[in-house]
Amino acid sequence: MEIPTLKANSRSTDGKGAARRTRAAGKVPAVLYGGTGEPVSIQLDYGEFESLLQHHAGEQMVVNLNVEDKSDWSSPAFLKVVQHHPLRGDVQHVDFIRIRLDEKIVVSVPLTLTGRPKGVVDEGGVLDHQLREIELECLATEIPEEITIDVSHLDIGDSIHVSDVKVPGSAEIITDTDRAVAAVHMPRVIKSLEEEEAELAEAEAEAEAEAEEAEESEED
Amino acid sequence: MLIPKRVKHRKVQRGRRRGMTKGGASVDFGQYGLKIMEAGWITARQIEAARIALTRSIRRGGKIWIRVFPDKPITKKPAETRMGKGKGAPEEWVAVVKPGRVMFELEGVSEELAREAVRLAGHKLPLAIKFVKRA
Repeated sequence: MEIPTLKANSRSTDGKGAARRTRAAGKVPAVLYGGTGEPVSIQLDYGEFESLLQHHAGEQMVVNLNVEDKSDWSSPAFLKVVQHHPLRGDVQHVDFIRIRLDEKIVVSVPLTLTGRPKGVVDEGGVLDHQLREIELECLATEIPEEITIDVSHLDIGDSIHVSDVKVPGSAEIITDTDRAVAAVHMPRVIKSLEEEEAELAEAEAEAEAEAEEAEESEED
Repeated sequence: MLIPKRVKHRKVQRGRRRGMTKGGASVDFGQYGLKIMEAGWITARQIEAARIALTRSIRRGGKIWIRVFPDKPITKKPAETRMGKGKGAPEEWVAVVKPGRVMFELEGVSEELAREAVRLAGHKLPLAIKFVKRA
């Protein structure tokens, strides 16, 4: 796997106001820590980082961080956390961890499903995608972008577990192998309008009775 | 309807709704979600109405997650009562939501159906909403 290079610059200011000014200038504040070095503040170009994220399946990846004005800070780094704005979704801050390319690291890799299960197509079952990421221990150069699992053979009641997942290269699975990745269930029976309304009325009556009881006990 | 089983205090103060949601801003369980874009209170009845709208529109299949819980009691004084004489009786339960909160999540349906279900559920809520997909 080829490791992408990401350009960065050092950042001398910190705090909320400075971070906002950095964002207003079209940059993303970031931090690089871990390994043998000190934690350092850096900034990335927003457009370049966003396009890097868009061309990658997950948000966890390894990059060659090239700090242009402080070349001794440049190092291979693992993209640990990307913080997004809760409304707009744009990138607010990024955490990088220094790594060595010859050492194994633990990463979360997205699990994607392909195909439409037999139980869904023929019998109207529901595909339940229970595990969306799997933890692997592997070399930084061997991190798969995503792991694809074919679910087209699944019937109602069938499931795929972590133990069935095949990982490429020398990667080892860290996630509990008994955990289910995907399963096909029977569809739930939709209640009729009358049943739901009756249940709703019952719940309301119960709540009112409880409130009255609580009030009485307080008065006592 | 969602109601707490047991509470420490029967009546609480109103509180403030400043800022954005602290957590629950991304789709974490399903494939699609309904995101709240304003701060406000959502009553247990509104949550239930939106849930029913979602369930009905996706019909067979699909799975729904409700990611808010109405744990705040709201009191009301009876009609035509003079002010004073203590705080009113608990009347309903609300969930405090702030901008960015993913309130419902859906899985096992097509995007088209999910969009329509979220639109219909949004009409049962007092706040602006947005359809969101898993990143």
